[in-house]
Amino acid sequence: MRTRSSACVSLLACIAPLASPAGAQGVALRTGSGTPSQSLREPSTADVYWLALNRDENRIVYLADRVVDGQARLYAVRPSGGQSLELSAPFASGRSGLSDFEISPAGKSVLYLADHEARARYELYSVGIDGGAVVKISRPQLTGSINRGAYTITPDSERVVFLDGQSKLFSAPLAGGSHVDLSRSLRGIPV
Amino acid sequence: MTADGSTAVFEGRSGGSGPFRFCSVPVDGSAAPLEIGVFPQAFGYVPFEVTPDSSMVVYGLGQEGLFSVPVAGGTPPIRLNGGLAGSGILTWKLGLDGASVVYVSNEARLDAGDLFVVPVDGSAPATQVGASIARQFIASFEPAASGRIAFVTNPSATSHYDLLSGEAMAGAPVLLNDPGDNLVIPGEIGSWGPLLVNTPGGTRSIFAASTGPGVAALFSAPSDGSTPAVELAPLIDSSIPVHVFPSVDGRAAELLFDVRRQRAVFGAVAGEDGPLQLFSVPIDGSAAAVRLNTDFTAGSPGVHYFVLAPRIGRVFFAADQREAGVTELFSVPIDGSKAPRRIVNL
Repeated sequence: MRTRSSACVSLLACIAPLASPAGAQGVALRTGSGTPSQSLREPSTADVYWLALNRDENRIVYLADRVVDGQARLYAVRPSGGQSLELSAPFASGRSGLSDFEISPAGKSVLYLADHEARARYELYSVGIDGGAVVKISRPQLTGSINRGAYTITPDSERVVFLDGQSKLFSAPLAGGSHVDLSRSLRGIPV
Repeated sequence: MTADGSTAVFEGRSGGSGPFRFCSVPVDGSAAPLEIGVFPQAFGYVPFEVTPDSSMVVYGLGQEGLFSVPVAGGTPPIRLNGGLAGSGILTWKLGLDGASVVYVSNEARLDAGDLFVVPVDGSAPATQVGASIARQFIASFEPAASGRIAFVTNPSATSHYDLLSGEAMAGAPVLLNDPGDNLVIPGEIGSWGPLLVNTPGGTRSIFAASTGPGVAALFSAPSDGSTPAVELAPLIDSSIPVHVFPSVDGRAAELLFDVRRQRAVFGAVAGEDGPLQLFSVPIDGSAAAVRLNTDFTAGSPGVHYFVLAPRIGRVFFAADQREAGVTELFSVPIDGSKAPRRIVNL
């Protein structure tokens, strides 16, 4: 699965809440395969962790800890600036917030990974790029976190395909609804 | 995921051992997974890609070989590479048209890595691009939209690397760099690969090269070698001349291109401890590179992230430009014609 689908470019390492593998990239030294590999230097006390632009180039979506230090929340702002709109649902005290996000190919929704329900247990959620209700992406049981990068939105922006913590493959509607176990007949073959 | 969004393709193995199995399944779960291929690799994972037309899966690496199989199954996998005993696939990429695979292998001779092109459907045998030279190493290669393949190699089997461009069945590749320049900048040997990017239309290659001790520059050359390479910007003596960034499609990219304005935007460090800065330059070198950011506060690491918005002609970047330790969002025209403007005040 892709690690990034948005037109987002990372130059400096994301700070602690985003420091899991396969997520927002650090300052990337070049490697033979072109894979970002390591951080250039220790990050500053950066407030904006990541940004991306939707397909129509009319919304910038970004992560920032503008309310609680170290708690990453999701925002959208028009390219011309102005008031930022908070997209993520509220977080309880002590939560890290978002770990990752991905704008849908159609540019109307944002899928994000966050620990809303329990500290450091990351689940997938979706929200409209102009705000509104946050929807939890369905999965059968809470068996640890969903790993960063272990999901992708279908090109038609209708569904999310993801691996849960047990290496089983699921898909679910991006707008909310029941999940489907795509690996149901492959018992004994972790994906 | 296939490009049409209908099917997920995945690999797995039983109990963490045994062969890897490739399966395809409708993303709506309307049918059970279908096993379409098996690969007997012991460790890690097996690289695979789905062709842009969603019809085929290409997978493989090493001595086990390179294969393709229909996403929908129905026919057994086809082996794409040659079979010289002891040879193997070192690396491969899909051609941008999705109809071919470009790979590096020592199947012509075991003591050389050579470049080959083969149709994805295996309808013709692989064709070698360029000559096979003992101890040759392909340090990097990039298929271009034009059908040509730019590749960095050391034809003299030394530490001097050139940029060549060629096509399957099209004669000898052409040299794109100045013969005195080295595509592997000394500080990179042993750790980094060369910087090589083709422009979206495939008409030019952008690359970094060392022009002398401690001196490097970014160059642009037409992919057919019809005119000499032009220097786009000096890369100030630094161990990190240009950075790799994840691009729109998830692949890494050293530069981002604005096709409409025929410009490239890249980040570079001025000096080993200097801040990371953004630059914009016409891809044909017709004008000098311009710096997009203004001076940073003392001690700032510079630009953290940036995105390119070609439709509206702007670059958005995050930097602690105004206050050390506070990263904010800025907007600047892609051509640098105006100073950056802060759009998110934290």
